[in-house]
Amino acid sequence: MELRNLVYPLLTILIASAIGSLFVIPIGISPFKLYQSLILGSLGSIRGITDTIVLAGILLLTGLSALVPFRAGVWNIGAEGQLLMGAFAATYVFTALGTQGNAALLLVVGTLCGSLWGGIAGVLKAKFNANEIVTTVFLNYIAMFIVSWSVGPSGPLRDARQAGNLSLPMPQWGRLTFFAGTPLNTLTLTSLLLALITYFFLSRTCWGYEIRTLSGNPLAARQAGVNKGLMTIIVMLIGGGLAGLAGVFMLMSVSNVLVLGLSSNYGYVGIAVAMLATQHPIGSIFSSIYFAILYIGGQYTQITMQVPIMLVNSITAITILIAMLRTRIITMIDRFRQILMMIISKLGKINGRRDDRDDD
Amino acid sequence: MEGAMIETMIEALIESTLVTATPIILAVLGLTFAERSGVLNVGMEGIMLMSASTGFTVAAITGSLAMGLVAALIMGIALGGIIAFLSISLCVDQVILGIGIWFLGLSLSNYIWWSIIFNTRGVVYLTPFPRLSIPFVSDIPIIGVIGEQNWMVYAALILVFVTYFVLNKTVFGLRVSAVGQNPMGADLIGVRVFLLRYVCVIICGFFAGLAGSFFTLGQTGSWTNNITAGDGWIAIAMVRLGRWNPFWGTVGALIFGFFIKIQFILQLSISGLPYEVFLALPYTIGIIILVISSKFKGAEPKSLGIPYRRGAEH
Amino acid sequence: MAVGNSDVLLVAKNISKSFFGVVANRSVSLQLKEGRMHALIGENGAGKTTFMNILMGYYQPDEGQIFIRGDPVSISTPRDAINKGMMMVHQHSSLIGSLNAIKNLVLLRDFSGGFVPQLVRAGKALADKEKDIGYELDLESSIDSLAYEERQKIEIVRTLCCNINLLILDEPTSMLTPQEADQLYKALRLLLTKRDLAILYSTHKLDEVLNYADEVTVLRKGSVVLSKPITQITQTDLVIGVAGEEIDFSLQNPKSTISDTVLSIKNLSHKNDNGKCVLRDISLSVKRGEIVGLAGCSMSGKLELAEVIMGLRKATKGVIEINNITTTKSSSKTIIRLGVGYVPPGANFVALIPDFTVAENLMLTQYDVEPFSHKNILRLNIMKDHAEGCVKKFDVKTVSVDAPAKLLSGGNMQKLIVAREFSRKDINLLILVNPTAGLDISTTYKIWQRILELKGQGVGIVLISEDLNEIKKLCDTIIIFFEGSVAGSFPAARLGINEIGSIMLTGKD
Repeated sequence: MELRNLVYPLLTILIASAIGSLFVIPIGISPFKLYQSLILGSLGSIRGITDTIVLAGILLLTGLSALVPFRAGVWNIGAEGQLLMGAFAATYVFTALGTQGNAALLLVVGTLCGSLWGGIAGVLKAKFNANEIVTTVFLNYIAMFIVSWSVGPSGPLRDARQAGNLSLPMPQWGRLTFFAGTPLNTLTLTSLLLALITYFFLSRTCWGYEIRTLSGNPLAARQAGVNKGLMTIIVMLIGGGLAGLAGVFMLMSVSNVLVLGLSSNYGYVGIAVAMLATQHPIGSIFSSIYFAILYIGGQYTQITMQVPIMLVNSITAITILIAMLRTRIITMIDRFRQILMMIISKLGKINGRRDDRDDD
Repeated sequence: MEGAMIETMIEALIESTLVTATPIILAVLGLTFAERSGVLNVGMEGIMLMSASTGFTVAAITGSLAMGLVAALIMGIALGGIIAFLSISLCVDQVILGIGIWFLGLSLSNYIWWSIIFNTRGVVYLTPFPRLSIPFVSDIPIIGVIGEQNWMVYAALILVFVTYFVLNKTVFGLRVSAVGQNPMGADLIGVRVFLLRYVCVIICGFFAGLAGSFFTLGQTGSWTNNITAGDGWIAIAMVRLGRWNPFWGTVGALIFGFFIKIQFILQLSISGLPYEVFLALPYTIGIIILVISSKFKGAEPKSLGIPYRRGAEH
Repeated sequence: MAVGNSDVLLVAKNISKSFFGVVANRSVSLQLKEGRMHALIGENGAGKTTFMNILMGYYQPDEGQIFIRGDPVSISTPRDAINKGMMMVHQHSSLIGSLNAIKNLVLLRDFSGGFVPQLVRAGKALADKEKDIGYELDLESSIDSLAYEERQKIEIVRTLCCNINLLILDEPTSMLTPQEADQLYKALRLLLTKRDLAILYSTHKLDEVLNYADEVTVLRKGSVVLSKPITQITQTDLVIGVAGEEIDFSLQNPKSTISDTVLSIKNLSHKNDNGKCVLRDISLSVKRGEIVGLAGCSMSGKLELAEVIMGLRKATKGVIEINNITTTKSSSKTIIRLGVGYVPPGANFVALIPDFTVAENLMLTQYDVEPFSHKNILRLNIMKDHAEGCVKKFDVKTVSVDAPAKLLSGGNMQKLIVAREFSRKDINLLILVNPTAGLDISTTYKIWQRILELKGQGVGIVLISEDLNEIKKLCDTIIIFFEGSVAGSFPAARLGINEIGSIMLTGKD
């Protein structure tokens, strides 16, 4: 792995964090103290570290859910809604079964529901060329209202015993650890596994190749016989499924009830995770940890320094923008390298023979 | 139902159609400029939110709506300029740029309000722009309510004609179309592609500023998180529905506003459905709009979303 | 040839330009005189377009100076060049397709007054200038709806509506039949007599230089090889100047047995998205070991036919059979799997993925077959070995097969795409569209040689090309398309290039 794959994301993080921290100056907080607090909150205690790892697992899943469609040139901005629908479906089944329910069943149900939710946008794009950015954003809003209704006063999932609008509590199966004392729980292991599978899928299988041609050059993909409509639907099913899975895991490890505000934008953060990692599944493992630190630390800071979580969201947004710039800068650097190579190959003719037909 | 009640209901219907549609219309007009010249502005919602928040904040501090409006417009133009620089000169991916701007606008707009207003003064209420009373129009019974809106509603409607005229009946508009359809061809004959695109995107920012300020200064006089509630996205859908013709986009926005309100009114009489269905309605309609837009004629600007670089062949 | 007035209009001195380390122009100097037609000749990639674009302010030279009537000038934008009286007709049209000729003129220059008066004045100006050059054009319809030849004429007339001293044309005849090229040059010479004008045109066709130019400059690999009046040059001078050596123009034509039919098309019709019938009742067949050439003007339907065969467009009527299997409604994937290779027009933009590596690009039509993949898993080392073989055999200049394809030069990209299809083991039928466009002479000959080799191995080949020379050299049978129908099918030996051109234009023998 090239050094620059490490350096550039780090630089991006530094720049974005630096810019973001400037926003606290107007309210009289020093950026340094802010960062201290963020890191303390996320890594300064056992509880913090566990929470961070758990959230990283969630963000990795939403990151993958954005990443796979992006690689096919399909802009899945709907992880938020797909996550909510996954959680909704799982809660529904859980409640219907009288709070019995096998964790595996709920995970499958949630994944399927998220998958279908993503599939809607995929079909609309494939059949009607409906702009998927807009449709997935709209579906996010609709999903939010579905969840809101379901735990609201007239909704089927509301826990009557509670004062607020929540569903019945779900056991925290996501936090089950296999080895005592280690932070590796079911959620984290599943996410890591899926990241590896995604990497293998994209780089080593025929379907992965086809997906990549679509973002590389849709015209060439068409010439090669790649079925764009079918692949669009497939990647949205995959992306939706991954986010749906994240939704069920949210219920099983972060918040044990379905409630409005369950996701706090983690679906959108997934986009940032993917972008920071240049849409690379393995890199997403690291970028999800970074964002988990930001958010867990942010929750802590919200309590201790009264700095609202919106600040962390702003940092996330800025990271997306800096990462986007980075792609551009890399292209420019590539070009310079090309010039360098040309000059070097001219100075030292490798063959020794002066080849007249050198530059074509 | 009594006659007076029906009258009031119809008046409310007309009024809320206009009020719902106005910011969407403004956004559509701005987007039409940008997209016709070939630049995508997916982050429209973000600019609107930032302008709404900035306008509100300045108005609350200075006590002057006019100052707030100016601030909102400046914010819109500034963000438009940044987006223009990034997409036209640096040629970044316009979709990711838009998503980033939207997300930034969503969080930063709220943070601005929180850190400057809420932190220091708590919840602040302003009196929004007053209703005008247009001489003959407002005397007409029932539909005369059209004549009793604030100035921004009328500004929006007038700007529809202005936009149409500028884009279709001037040489400037001809150049914009050329740049959107074939930027290299236009460049080769001396049309200032980059400048034109900058102008169009900044105009889009201006309209976004106007649209955003409508929410806080023209309608509610207060701030809530995500006050624009997706109207920027609805506008993007409307532009496509109208096939990049501002008139059709405006018609779409008006029908949209009307339809939303009709459903609310019907909901009062039909008890079965939960009110979330109606909250979700705008977005459901938005999706349907995108689906049917594909059936209409009218070409997408060929270079939409693709940055232009001189010497790209090398 | 024009004599007399020979005021020097423009002098270019030592113009050099590189793009990211690749030298396009190396110290180019030449003089353009009023009343003279100056030909700029060189192979594809020699630097002609770059030089012209520098004159027009689209690019800035790294070194060198331009003088207009003795005064040094700096031309920093196309608008600058236009203001100084220079206009260019580009190889890839700069007209805006959705607008008509009149609006396209208004884009170019300002007429005074409001919008509608401007349109009126522009229309008048175009109508006037049409006469200067002897054309009759449709000024009201959108450019997209017109044929290529008409678009080019409109582009030329548009330039005449400005105050120009120098008219530059970049490869104006590359898509024209010999008759149309002749008509164009005659019109240009007519123009020279009516105005104080200098004309600079570029071409890679030697006879166009010898027949029409007053002065010639030869570019090779970015440098000027010679620059003289036509009277002081022979054809051999030009050939050697362009290629650098006497080229062995012979091709080995292997013995091939023409056997069973590999492609059969019966009564094929196709309507495009606008409802226009672009292919009408086409019937033809291609046998193994046979090269069939398709020639036709721009709207003749030959390009659409290639896409219908490849499954990229759907036929509205008729039957296509490949290897005796009906493929009329098949997907592109199915057709490719039957052993059909396709080199499309503009291949560099539509058949290559810039961010993929060279090796990955070489797999684009074979990634899902053995041995390159097994049970859906790609076998990367086999792909890499194959890639290295291809790159060597077809002389693709790249740093490594793992380098991204976007770093390749245009010519090497084209070679890559040709290499990809030619080296397939399952190849039965090749559909080639302008396969040697943009390539230098020696590479062109190498590819022609490979085409003939494949023919010898029993591959059926459909060659669609603007280059009638190419068609005449390689094909056994020539089919000429005219306005969507087959105008005639002839053994190649029976027709000369001029006859082909004539049938292309008129549809009649």
